[in-house]
Amino acid sequence: MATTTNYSWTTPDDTALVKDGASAIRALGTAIDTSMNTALGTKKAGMVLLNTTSFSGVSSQSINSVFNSTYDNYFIMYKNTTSSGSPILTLKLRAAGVDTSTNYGSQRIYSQGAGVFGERDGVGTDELYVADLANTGQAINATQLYVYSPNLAAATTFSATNVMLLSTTLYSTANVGFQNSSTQFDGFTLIVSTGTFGGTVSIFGVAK
Amino acid sequence: MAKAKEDQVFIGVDNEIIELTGADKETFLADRKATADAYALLEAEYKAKQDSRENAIKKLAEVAGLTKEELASIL
Repeated sequence: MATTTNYSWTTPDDTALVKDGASAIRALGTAIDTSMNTALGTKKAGMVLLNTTSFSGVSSQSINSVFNSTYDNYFIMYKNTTSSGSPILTLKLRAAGVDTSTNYGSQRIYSQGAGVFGERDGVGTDELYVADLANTGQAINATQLYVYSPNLAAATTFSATNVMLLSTTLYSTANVGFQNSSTQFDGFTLIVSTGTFGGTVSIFGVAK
Repeated sequence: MAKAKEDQVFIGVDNEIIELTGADKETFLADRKATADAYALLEAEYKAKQDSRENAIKKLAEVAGLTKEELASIL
């Protein structure tokens, strides 16, 4: 009897009789069901990749139609690959292709070498402070961001961290914040405060 | 994409690249300037506070007849 490569599920031989097809399909289905139950039980995947977008040479990058009712919370990874100058990276939520520029609040703690600093609303209240970029630090520059409830009719909250190597100085920033409205957002825009930037952004939905 | 001229502004929307022109471009640039200005103001305030603190420590050290480092070790 033929079997599959990885799980050794039994499949009909080429010479098997067609009249035994129903039984063979049932046996294969049962074997798959047993294997899946052993591996996962009733658990679902914790995170699902929804979108990956690579871009370069732009002053902002919008991602539409990624937040919806399937997930409440999201994880966003951004790997910076290019930037002109040393811009601040900020984020605005958007709905139906239009950015929202009000009712944000953010708090930032950042360190550069041995120094540790903090501030509230470092870029005002029209966007969220996400990270710092530098045109010399791309090799070690990564940002991750959790976004809670963007598509619910409730306030959206954020937490973001960023690491960057500026020459030989390690630079890190941790941001938390909110957008306080009941707008049901379906996307977001990343913006640099000067020049252009590039990289790859991936958005994951976190299972409820 | 071709290298942008200095006065051109391109934005990405999903997998499309769009050049901003006219009022859209002016609004975008004004918004970015507001971001940079807000941060510059914050940095200036922080630097002023740091300078003020440094001066206070220096004066205190002079009055106490100590070096800044000696005073810092006590504080």
